[in-house]
Amino acid sequence: MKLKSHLRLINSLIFSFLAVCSIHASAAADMKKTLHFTFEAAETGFDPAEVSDNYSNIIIANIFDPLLGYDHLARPAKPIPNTAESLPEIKENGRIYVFKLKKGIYFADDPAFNGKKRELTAEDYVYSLKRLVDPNKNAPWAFLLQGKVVGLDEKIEEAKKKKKFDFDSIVEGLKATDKYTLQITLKKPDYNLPYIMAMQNTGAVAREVVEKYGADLDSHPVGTGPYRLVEWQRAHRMVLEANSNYRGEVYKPTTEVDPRDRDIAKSFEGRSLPSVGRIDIRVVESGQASYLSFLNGQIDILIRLGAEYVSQAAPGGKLSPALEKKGVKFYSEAEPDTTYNLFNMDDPVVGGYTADKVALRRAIVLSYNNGKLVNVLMKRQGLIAQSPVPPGITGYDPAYKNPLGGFNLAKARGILDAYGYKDCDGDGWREAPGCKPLMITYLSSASAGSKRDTDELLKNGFDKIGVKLKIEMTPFPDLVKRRQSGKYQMAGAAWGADYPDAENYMQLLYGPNKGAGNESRFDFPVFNKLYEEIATMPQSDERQKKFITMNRLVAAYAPWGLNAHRIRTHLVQPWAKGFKYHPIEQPKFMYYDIDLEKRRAVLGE
Amino acid sequence: MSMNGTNTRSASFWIQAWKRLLADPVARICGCILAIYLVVALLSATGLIAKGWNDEVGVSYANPVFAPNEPNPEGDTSLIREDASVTDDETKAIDPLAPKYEEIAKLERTNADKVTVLQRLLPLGGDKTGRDVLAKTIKAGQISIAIGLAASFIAVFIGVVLGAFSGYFGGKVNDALEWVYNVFTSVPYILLVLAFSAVLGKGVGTVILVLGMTGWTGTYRLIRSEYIKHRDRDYVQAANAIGASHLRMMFLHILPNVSHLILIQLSQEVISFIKAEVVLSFLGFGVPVDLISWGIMISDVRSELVIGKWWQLASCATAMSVFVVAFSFFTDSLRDALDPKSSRR
Amino acid sequence: MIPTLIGVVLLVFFLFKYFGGDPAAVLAGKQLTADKIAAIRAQLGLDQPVIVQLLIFVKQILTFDFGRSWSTNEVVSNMLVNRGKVSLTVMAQVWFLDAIISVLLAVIAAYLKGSLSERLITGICTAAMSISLLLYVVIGQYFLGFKWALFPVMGWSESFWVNVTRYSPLPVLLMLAVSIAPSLRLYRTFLIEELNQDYVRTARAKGAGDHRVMLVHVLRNAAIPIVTNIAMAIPGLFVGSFVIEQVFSIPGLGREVVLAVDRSDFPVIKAITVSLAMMTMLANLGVDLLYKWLDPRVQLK
Repeated sequence: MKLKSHLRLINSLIFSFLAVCSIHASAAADMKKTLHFTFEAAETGFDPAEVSDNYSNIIIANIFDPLLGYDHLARPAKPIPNTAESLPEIKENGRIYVFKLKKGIYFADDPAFNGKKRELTAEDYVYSLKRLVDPNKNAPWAFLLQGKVVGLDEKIEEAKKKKKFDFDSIVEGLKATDKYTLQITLKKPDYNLPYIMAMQNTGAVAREVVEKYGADLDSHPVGTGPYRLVEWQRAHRMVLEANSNYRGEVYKPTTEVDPRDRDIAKSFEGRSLPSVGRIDIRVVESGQASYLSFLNGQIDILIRLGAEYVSQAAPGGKLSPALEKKGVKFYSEAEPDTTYNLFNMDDPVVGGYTADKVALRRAIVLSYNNGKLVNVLMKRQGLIAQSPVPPGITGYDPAYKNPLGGFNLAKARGILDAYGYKDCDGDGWREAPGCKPLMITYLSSASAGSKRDTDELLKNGFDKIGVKLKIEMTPFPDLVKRRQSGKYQMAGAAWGADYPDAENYMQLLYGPNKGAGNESRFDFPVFNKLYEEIATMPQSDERQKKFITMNRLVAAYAPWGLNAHRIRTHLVQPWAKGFKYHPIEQPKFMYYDIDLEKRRAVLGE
Repeated sequence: MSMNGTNTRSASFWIQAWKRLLADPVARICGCILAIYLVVALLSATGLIAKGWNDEVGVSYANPVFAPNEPNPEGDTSLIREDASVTDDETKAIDPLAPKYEEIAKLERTNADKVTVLQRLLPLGGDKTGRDVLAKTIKAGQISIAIGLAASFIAVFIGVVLGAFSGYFGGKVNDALEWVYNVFTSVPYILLVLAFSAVLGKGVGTVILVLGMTGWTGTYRLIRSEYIKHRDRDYVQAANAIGASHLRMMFLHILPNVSHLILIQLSQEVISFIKAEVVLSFLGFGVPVDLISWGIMISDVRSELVIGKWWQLASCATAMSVFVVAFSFFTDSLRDALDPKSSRR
Repeated sequence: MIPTLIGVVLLVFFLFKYFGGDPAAVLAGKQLTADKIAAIRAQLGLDQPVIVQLLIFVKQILTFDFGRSWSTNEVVSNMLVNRGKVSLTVMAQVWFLDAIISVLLAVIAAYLKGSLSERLITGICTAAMSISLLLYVVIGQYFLGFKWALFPVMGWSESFWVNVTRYSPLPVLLMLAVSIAPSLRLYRTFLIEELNQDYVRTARAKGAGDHRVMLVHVLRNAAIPIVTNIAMAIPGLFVGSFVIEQVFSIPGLGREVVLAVDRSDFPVIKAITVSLAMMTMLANLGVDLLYKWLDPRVQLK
């Protein structure tokens, strides 16, 4: 069944015929098949413009369709057209983007459409993208477009004043030039826009649905994607069912498939997506519960196995013989995220750019035992971060090693000695130059069930170099707020990539972003200038060199003490197929399949 | 019965009680166990033992002496060291510390640590970061017992005083105290804990105060209902008739008659606070990071069972369990000794 | 009753106002700006004067409409009903079995006081409760649930009967292991205390049989503190046990409380606290009425 080529042909010819074909395609989703999946934390809701947590976003990614998507198997992550016919046409050196929509894509049926089939149009994207920046909502994703699109900021200001966003007024930089064409005009070139248009939160919602359900939109996600939500018991269970209006897709690799993924690629041949009719998702917060349930066969695909259990399931990075025998498949992949300790550069003690201030931060960085963090605390489920930029994204250089890193207590003490941080009063703790008292406060947040091993590690390092550390426990919301407003000395942080480009990380250290993403309040002219350059150019050797220089600046001035990039381990039952963890895109259930007979044979039901 | 209420207990009463206690084999055994715990706790508090509980003396999950041959891949992993960094010229050019590189290198040599060999075998094994589980359990015991005792004195004191006033006087006093009680018990525990921790900061003192100030309600309620029961009894009426003051009647007449309840409450609170400390630790409100308690240990080791590193879990669970059981039985015997009528059936 | 409610309202309001976190920071997502936080605070009404916020809270209580959760947008009253039901399903069983078993064992223990059997009963129960629930759930789930497959590892269904027969037995069992001993020890003391009363001896002297004395007189009088203890546990049943709910993936209220505190979700905290306060007051009233019924000597005002 060469469905995709059929679709292409029909697309350009007869549009009503396609509807038939779509039904045919989704009829392939076997309603007898139910895939069991778990979330390790509770979801919050399913309005793409309102929620920002990872788990809600998994559901959103399976219900709503952004213009672009990612190739399921290609690494590094590679954008492909989703509801767009092709990748956008780029004009004026990355300032204007033109997206052409596929015709004949329909929303899932909903009472809001009054029994009619509702086709997806460019106006839906205009509306959906405007919703993202509505200042009268939480708008966690406003930063994706705010300050970038021509004419949009003015509308936001107006909406703030009027307390209502006028969705009918035209934004110059964001408009549908015809029913199927969307044109986005930016203030300055930005080659990362396609990535933004591949994020699940930029997926299309229908205005009728938003207006019908109002505040309850959360529980009525209606999209054009492969699944629709049929059951929702908050913070407990979500059931997705194949959307019968879905256009049907066939996966075809866009690049050479990695030899390890040949089996997966093969399983897609002639398979119309989605294959599994029902997805049954449960929230299982306890790592032990989900691991044991997986071993029991109650869970088909277990993503992000808790680090504690990895050494049991796959000691030394190899699947344990017991699981091997069962035919369980195991995937271990570096996730594009970075954990780090922030220093507040505006703080009179730990901040500052003079050599003595830099020395203190550098000594602290050297006292943090990253090897122990990665090998012992994270049970090898992590890589020592060499640069702010994590693996798997553009701008990451595996050959680059932090020239000023490494755990080295003797050197840390040497630096402190050299810059006058000495123990003046003989109490065993160092004082600041000039014998001024020295104590550094680190903000930490404890939530139920959390571990304190990283706090212990930090304290250990401070003790060993003779610098007093106070760990202040704060409720998480306050911790976040104090980081944002610069009311702290030191704090832990982590950043997961929104899109696979190093710019997403470097913007966190760009001076003018102080008070926005830049929580360390690092403001260094040389770095700022480099950032402005890399932000407006496409990737090239030249850009890569600039990234490396930026990495070196971060190492030298140490606004961040880099810690680790997480590695995640995923377990897949022998009867589940098509799984591959995507570094950027949320898990997409349409790629997964299960072999019911095999499951029955193994579980003996 | 009424005589007992009007007379203050004499010294001979306590001697008799002590003799009865010594005669009870359960009390002797449990008393010895508790004495051992207390001695160990005191030794640990003075720094004579378990001083280095926080030192990483072994490899990760070092084997205990009774299971020396369990495979320990984690131990090998923990020996892997991070590569030393190489500072290239490009970095040197931008590094503000570059002018002092030579001085730093010299000071680095004088500041080097002695090389220590990490143990692969420890008496009760090692924890994730290679700390000695035995020393950790001892130190944790010291902190937990101290927390339990201190918190229970605070809680029972508050509970008894308020309960006595409320039960004895009734009326407006009762209304006012019931109001406080109702307000207190109606607010979810975690919210109170959060509030107290926010006010008091973080430390062992906070944990004690949080437990004490949130844990008095049970004692209050019990003592109140006892006082309601007793205030109408004959001996109280008789004392009232001869003109005893209210405070005298509350604390000299009625209190001895409920003292066994207070004692039981005290013992039960010690146990329940030691256990509540576990919950506090689990919720993230435990002792600060440079201290350890049984609660912290338990909430940290939960995942170690599945991965087969059971010794830390077994050590702290056993230590805590033996203490709690011995304490409970000792209190029972103590009550029997103090309340001889209870054996007169 | 009303003064208590006022006290609770004020306490919760000010506790949270000054010691709770700022929810706006979490809702604003990854890229925070001061502007954004201010805007969200305005939406949540946090920029209003304190007195206005308090009045809104009072109005919510009077109408019993706590609005929507700040973090999940769920209608709070729905959340209370749905999750409270689940917690109650587990906890009512624990409560009921705990009351029956511990009173029964306490009577036996008091009856056989000083014998080996008594020591055995209290000994086993005490040893059982000496281990933390936190460990019980981990060990119970691993051995009883997984290794020996006597119970499901975790789960919860829509059917009440499936929950009672399949998913709650293990959590109930584990909770009973820690809850029986404290109740048993307490009740035994009450009973022994009563046994030492003069009237017991009088009754015996008059020729009343041991069983009759135990059942009629002693139990009746010891019932006051026992019933207090049992009745006062009722409001807590709706809140459930956080540890149990988290480890066994039971969608109860206990998890929600902790989550709400973590997320500084004030509407949820307000609603739970006020409902709990009301139930506590009702339980108190019930206990006082019971006192009168059980012991006519107690005068109710």
